[in-house]
Amino acid sequence: MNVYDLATGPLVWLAFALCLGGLSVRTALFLRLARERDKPVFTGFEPRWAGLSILHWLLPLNVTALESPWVTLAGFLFHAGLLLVGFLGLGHAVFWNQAWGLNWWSIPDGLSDVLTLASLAAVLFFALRRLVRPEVKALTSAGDWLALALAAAPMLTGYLTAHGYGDPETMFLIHVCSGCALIAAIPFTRLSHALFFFLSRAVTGSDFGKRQVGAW
Amino acid sequence: MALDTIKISETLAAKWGARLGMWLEICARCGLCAKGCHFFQSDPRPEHVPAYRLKPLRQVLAAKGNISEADMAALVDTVYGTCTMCQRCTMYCPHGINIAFMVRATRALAVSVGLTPKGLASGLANALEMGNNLSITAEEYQETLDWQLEEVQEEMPEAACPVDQEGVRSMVTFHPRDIKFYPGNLYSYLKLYNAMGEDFTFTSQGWDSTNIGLFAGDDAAAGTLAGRVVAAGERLKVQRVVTAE
Ligand code: SF4
Ligand code: SF4
Repeated sequence: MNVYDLATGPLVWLAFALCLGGLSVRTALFLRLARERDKPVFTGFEPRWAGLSILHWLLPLNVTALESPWVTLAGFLFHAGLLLVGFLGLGHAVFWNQAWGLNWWSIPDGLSDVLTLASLAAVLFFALRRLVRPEVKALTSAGDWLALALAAAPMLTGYLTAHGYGDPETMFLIHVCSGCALIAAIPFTRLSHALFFFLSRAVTGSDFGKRQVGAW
Repeated sequence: MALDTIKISETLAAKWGARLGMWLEICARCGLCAKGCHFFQSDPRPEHVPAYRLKPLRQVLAAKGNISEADMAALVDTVYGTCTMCQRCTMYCPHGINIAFMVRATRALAVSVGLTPKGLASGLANALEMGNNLSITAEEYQETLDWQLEEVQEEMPEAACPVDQEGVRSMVTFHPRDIKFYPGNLYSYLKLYNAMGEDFTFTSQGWDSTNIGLFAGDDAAAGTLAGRVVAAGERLKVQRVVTAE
């Protein structure tokens, strides 16, 4: 087995196993801890308000979308590029199909290019914001740069691979490895917001909703 | 006096929970919450960004409670001096992080080693001792209610001001400053409830609607104060407690 097979075979498996396994364990641990010593998570749960709160933030239907439109736009572009190209990019769709027999939608390469560039532009915007805005700068620590780099690396190398920049095999290998790193890191870094976004919004949406001040 | 860091670690352990851990972890340090905070809006210093209030808690956690007196003084300054726990920032946070919840948990650390700021501590002592945070006596309470009833009766001769009436629908509680500084508010409550024909009563016990214990981060005191309102409501067998603020 050569490096190429290793990267596109067991490594991808390992990354997804860590990601899905890790997220399951973290969900279970969260619920256990909540049951043992954070009862309001359950007693205060209001499905309607939780659902509305999640919806208001999955769509730009919230106060921050109005007050910070540029950051909101960047946030949506960033996540859209990452998720859409990640799951549905043609190269990826072919890979899922060949490796695991999964058959789903794919998006044309041209669209993937646009989404990826927009997403990378958003990364640049976030990075500049961290350097320039004093209030964001004061909050920033090494972990924030790591999270940004983790997300940017597979997108950048994916784009470079697709357009034949650099040595194709090396570039591709870096792309696969950085993609796997990103996927595997989700449960163990603050990227865990992929899961906790929903749990947190459910808790807070219920909390605000039950006081009848709207689903924030 | 040296800081009782054992007490701090114990409180830290007691305060640890699912929400606290989750929110500390997923805060993206994006600073979007700043738009919601009246401290930041009036004085846009980095220390006034809501997420900045989590710094002391992170610091104590990293040190497992073993922090210096200077750091503890800074903690007290941050969580009592730069946050009113209004929760506005939570409305602006994409992750719905409840900063106030964590500020309250951090305040508990200060409470555990007797570092509640003076003004707050004395209000809390008043509330525990006298039943309200402004040390208003039972006579003062009743006299002010009587006085405001007289005023209302000039316009509404039928108006009544029941106190400790059992079995009614609503027991009305309010902020003690309505007695001490703004008796006109009592006038308004009385006029409103009488005009509505609401089946209501004031109460001689447990009438302070504020919970300084909750605000100070003192869970035991918060429980005692809330318990008094509950006890008053149960004693009078009312259907609901109305809180005016
Ligand atoms: S808006 Fe929320 S996630 Fe962003 S810095 Fe503030 S508390 Fe953290
Ligand atoms: S809860 Fe504290 S940090 Fe948040 S908006 Fe209110 S005062 Fe500011």
